[in-house]
Amino acid sequence: MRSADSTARDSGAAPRPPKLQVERLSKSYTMGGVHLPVLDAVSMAVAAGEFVSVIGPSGCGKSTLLNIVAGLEEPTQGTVLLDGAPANDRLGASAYMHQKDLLLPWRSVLDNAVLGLELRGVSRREAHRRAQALLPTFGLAGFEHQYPHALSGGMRQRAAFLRTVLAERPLLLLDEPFGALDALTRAGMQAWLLGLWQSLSKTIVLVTHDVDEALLLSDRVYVMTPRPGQVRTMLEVTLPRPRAYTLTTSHAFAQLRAGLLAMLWREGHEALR
Amino acid sequence: MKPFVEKASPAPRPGQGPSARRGYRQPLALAAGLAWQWLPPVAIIALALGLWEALVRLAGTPRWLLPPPSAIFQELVARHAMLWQHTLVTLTEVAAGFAVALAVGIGLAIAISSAKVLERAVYPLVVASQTVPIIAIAPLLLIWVGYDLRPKVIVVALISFFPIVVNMVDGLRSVDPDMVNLLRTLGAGRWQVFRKVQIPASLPFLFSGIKVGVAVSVIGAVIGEWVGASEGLGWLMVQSVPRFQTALVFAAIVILSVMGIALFALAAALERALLPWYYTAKREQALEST
Ligand SMILES: Nc1ncnc2c1ncn2[C@@H]1O[C@H](COP(=O)(O)OP(=O)(O)OP(=O)(O)O)[C@@H](O)[C@H]1O
Ligand SMILES: [Mg+2]
Repeated sequence: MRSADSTARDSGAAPRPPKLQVERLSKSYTMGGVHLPVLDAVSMAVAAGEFVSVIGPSGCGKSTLLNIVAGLEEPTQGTVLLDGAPANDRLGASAYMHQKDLLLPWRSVLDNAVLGLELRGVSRREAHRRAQALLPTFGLAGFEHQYPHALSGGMRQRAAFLRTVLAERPLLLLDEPFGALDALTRAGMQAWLLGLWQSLSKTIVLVTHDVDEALLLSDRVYVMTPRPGQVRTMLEVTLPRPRAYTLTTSHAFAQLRAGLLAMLWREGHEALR
Repeated sequence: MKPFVEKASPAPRPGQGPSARRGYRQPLALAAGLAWQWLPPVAIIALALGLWEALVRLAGTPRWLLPPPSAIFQELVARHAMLWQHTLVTLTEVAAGFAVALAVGIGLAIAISSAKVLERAVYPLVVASQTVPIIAIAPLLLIWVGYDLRPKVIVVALISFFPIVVNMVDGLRSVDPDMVNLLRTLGAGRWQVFRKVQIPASLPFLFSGIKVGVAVSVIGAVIGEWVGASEGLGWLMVQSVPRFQTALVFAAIVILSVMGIALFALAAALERALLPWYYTAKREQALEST
């Protein structure tokens, strides 16, 4: 199992710093004189190679958190550290997959996938070669010359994910990548990502609303409070790897799910109070 | 890594995409589609011309008052050399004026969308320029720049740059800011964002502007020639009216409208060739909604 603990707690010579660390991150917006606190002193750490999920009610600032980590926005307070060093100029340091697929409609699947390589100046031929090699894994073989509008929702999402992977960054930030899909397609995609991640050797931060998704895929789950978002609890997913989708029907999984749901429902009740 | 398997949908081979399944690539279906598209307007025009011919002949209307279509056609054939010469003059004015409109229009649109200050300074002026009647400015242009090609080029440009600017500005504004942010997270600079997202996203809008602009540009050339010229189809009309050469006036009108239609068709064909993604997306949408 690749988990934060193995890197952080194993008292070796020099402990490897976490891939990503956010320290007491706060963010508030001021719109028309109204002050809106969105994130309140959020701290979390993600070790290299770890898969961490962030789950929380809608509007609690999950996307805002990823925007800040990606470098699209600056926090009001707090710091973002990458590999143990404060990362002020972090735009482009991680690969960010947005809630929407954001495929460029005028580019074929292949040309969408290589966008990151292209922007880094990798030659077109080399970029296409790297993308072609991954097309079957992403279920896109034979569709590489299609425009995005001709694809199904699941395929579009996989194309966007291929683009994210081909950005070739060690840290992937995924914002509800399967949120827009129907339940059946989504389950298929989760099973697929589970298999894929185990061979990708990437650090992943996944934002989700889906309890099963978080438990199935993650090493740890951060549970957030309603806005202003704080980290309420951190849950270790003590399920052995490699995992398979059938795990979702096991007793251990059911217990973890009950625990996580209880935490989330508490959030829900507090939001209603 | 195991390949992703989906409810086995075979990969489409070239010529077998969604469009091929609907029979667009088969010549017969294509011909039928074309006929379906062109038959109604052609039939209506033929009917109208036939009616016109019959009524004029039955009523014995004099030719100087309203010539029958056959007389206009004879005029087109008999004086084709002279008409062609004037057509070339007018076409040159249209082409030159439209090229200026395109360059100025795209430049202004980029300026307007690049900075709020420029938008507030320039956009109202662009709109105001369209409230000034062009026909009132045209004579002034004669005083300022003379009788040659230039005043016509200016009138054409003035009349056709507006739809280009307005549409292109809308296009540049239509860009999803999340798409811009995506490019930034992939390490793109301002110029790369502009080139890889903003320009392609605005092209369909630009082509809408071009199609409108090219259609009105012919009107601009005719106005320019009416005010002061020594050649061109507009000038020919002004010359022919006092001589009661009504058939020749009609011949010029026919050529001008064919010119407008041809330029529009050219712009539409160019749009199809350059924006295949937009064209197919639009067609799929249209097919889905029927
Ligand atoms: N640029 C902004 N200006 C003002 N308010 C903003 C801005 N971005 C986000 N917000 C506000 O911050 C809050 C959190 O937004 P965010 O998108 O991070 O939530 P989220 O947890 O991702 O929600 P969801 O699960 O629905 O995607 C929302 O109330 C939103 O209105
Ligand atoms: Mg969100």
